[in-house]
Amino acid sequence: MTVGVPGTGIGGMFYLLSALAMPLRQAYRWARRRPSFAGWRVVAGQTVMAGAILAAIWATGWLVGIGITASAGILRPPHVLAGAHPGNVLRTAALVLSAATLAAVLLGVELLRLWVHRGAEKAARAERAGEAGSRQQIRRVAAIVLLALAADGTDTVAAQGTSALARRLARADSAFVAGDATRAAREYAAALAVDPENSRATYRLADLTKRRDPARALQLFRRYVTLEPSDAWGYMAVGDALVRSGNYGDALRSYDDALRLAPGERDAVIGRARVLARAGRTDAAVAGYRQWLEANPSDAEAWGELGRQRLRQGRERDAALAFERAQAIAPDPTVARRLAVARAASAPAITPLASGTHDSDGNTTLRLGGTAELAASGPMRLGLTASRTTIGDGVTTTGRHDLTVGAAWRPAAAWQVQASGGASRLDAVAGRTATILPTGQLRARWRVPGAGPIVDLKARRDVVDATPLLAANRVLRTELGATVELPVARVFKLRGIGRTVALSDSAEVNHRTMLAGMVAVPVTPSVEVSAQFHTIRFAHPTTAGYFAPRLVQVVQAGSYLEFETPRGILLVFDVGAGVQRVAEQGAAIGPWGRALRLYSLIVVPLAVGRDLRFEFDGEQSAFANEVATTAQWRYVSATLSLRWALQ
Amino acid sequence: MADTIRSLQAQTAPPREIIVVDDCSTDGTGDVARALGVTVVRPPTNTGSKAGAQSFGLTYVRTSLTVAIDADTVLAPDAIERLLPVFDRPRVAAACGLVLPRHVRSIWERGRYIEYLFAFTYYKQVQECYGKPLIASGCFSMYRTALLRAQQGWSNRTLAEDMDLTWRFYQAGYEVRFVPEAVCYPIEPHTFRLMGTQLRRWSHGFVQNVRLHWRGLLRVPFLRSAVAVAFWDATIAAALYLVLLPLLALVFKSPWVLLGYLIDAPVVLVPVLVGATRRREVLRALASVPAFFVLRTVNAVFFLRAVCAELVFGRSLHVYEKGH
Repeated sequence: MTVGVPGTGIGGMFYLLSALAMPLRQAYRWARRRPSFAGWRVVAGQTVMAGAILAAIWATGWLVGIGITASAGILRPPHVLAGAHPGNVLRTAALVLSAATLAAVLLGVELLRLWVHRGAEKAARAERAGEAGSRQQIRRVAAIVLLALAADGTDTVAAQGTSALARRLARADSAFVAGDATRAAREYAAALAVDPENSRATYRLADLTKRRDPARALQLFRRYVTLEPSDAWGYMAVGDALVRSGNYGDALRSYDDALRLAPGERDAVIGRARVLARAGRTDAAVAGYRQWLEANPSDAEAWGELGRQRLRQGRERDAALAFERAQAIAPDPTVARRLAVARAASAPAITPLASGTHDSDGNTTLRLGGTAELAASGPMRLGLTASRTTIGDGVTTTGRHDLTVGAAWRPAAAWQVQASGGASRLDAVAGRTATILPTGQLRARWRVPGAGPIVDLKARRDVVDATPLLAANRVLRTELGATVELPVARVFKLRGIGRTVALSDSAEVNHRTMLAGMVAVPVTPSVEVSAQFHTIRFAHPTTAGYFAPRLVQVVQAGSYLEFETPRGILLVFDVGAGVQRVAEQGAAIGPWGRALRLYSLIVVPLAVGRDLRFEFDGEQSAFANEVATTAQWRYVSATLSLRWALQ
Repeated sequence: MADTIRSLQAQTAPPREIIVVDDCSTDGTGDVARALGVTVVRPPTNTGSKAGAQSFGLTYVRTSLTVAIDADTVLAPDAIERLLPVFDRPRVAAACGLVLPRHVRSIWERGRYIEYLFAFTYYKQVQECYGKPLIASGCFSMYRTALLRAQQGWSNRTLAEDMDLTWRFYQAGYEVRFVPEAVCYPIEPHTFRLMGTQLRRWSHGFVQNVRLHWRGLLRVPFLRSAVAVAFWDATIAAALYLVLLPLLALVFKSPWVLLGYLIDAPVVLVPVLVGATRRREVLRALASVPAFFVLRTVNAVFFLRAVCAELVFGRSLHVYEKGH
């Protein structure tokens, strides 16, 4: 028996026959002048030992037979021994049974080999034929089985295949180490042609192919996992390849398999956290990093990655702490830059702003103000906004003051809650005295981690102030709205918007209802195109100063683009173009006319903690917002602000 | 471990450098090694397996040959010198020696003593003659460093990293040699608990390696037959051994059938006595033979459990637990 492996059965017979065949093998090698692994003395010793074993088996059978015969009066011999000499039956049966079983097992192995390597054998033979000329090798299964014990003939043939493979692999390894990826890939592919089951060549070829042909690399890595099912790194490689194809769910499952094989292995733990981060499951990624860092607090790289995910969570203060830990262990300029960004983001800040609007009716507004934010405290951030807005139409000018206290709460990356409350003081105008009106807003946004559905709920109450007339009529907007986005098969998104607005003034309350549906296709992570349909209804006409048709229908094609330049300048454009038609109250629906919109945002980082922000909004549509005054209403607004972190 | 280091320092061909991998031990292993004047390296975190620790140590090796040796194994004074000549052949990637328990006292050590005597006197010699020793023992083997590194060292993908490495060498076209004159003496499990831990690791490791390498092994003559036979004996024959013989005795209502348990005793006894005679330990061997049959039965049970766990229920064992 082999040590640690139970030694009952055919092993004894296999080695007995192998030992008895050794002199023949030795003589064959000697005659062919081939090196031998053992000297004649060892061969003779093993052969003698095999003979002694045979003799001992024979003697044991003989002794047992004598024992059975002698004790026949006490113990009844088995029926199978009736009529025969028990010793002969036992020793013959033992030898024949084990020899027959051994032959069956060896035959099975050879048949399995011929079946499994049938393709590779042809390739190896073809290669040998190319290298050494055509050599006919006729081998029959029976002959192979017989020669398996004195395996010189088969040894030579198979060894040629093995050495050809070894040569290929050696050349491939040498090219791989030298950094010659093209040659290495060619040699590994050639090695796989000889031995399709060679796992090392499979892995290396996949590794060399992953950038040029990710699909092929994934296929090869999967093949490697089949060949080496216990290698955790194979599963990790599959996981990484799946991430490159955007299949995060399967990538995570692959990393889970790796972790089962190598629990606590850094590459598997950190790799899984990275997949979670790429999948947008920021909270889970943070949990993964934290768990690792609790046990391995000196891992600077993991601290740095945790910091990045903390930033994505909106936990800038925690991000800064993580980056500080990373810097304390292993200073790195990239981490230092991120640390500065995180510190600036979590620091108190002031944001002065100026904005203005102009519409096709000649109404203009100018707003000057600013926001002061306190330092972030965990998931919570408080701020105070104050502004003065001047509203004019060329004839009448009025204005308002606003004061708002706001709070932003982000308990997890998936959850965002914003709330603000304050008041607007409207100037005296057109016989009306100055009025103070309470305003407020509550918004909650929840996104299923991993690019899942989004639910966005919004409630607000504020003053409609686009024109002096609206301001004079003290028109208040009370709105409830919901947006739901459903990703479908990672190919497109369905987005639905519902909004109901109560527009109230001293004379009446009108209701505006808006429903919209759109199909959005993400072309790249930063580019999305969409097709949209909007329908808007007002309950009744009004004289308060806003446009209140019975029905507006808009069909638009839209595109959303987001870019960041190497200097860190963020550019966002949301463009829509389409047609709309309007039905006035009590009238039939009109013809289709154009409807255009453009929103853009440009954020220029002047220095760490100092961001200049410019927003532009242009509309030519009746559905833009509640303040439209005609069907072909045009409107532009621009806002310039500077966020200045106080560090 | 101090004995191990001293036996290395006392070699007739002393190693150029002795590197001890202190795999984040808490028992002062590193201090003991340092006190004996050897290089001690320590990974930042526990590698979790012998393979991991050895592969970590491999990065510090600066010589063309590497000897891997367990901390509880001492060498005969000329063990390393005996291994060196086989590396004159450039295709030799690894060489191993003869293993014998350092202590032969408990039933488990005695059973293992007979196993070693039998295996290294008979099976391993035959395997060597055919150029395919089944395994270069993990407790003491010598490797060509470049080829070892080309194989990326020891892998922890199976619990028998030495078997995995040996079979990878064969599949890459290299040779592994057995040198019976190079003797080492590991400490073997002396209690059932320790023996159980080791058998569990070995049995799972063997099945994992067969599952991992079976396609590649089919290309390696003799080895494919030896592995197939070993696998048959460890599974089908072990099951028959444990179940069929008692069943037949019941069916035939004859206790003679139970003699089947001893029918292969000569196959065991002859090589054991040959090996013991060479070592002048005949009485010790004869006194230990009964323990072998006990260990064989226990071994069969552990092996069948491993086969069921790995191949039937898919519960692969990957937690490295040191028995001995």
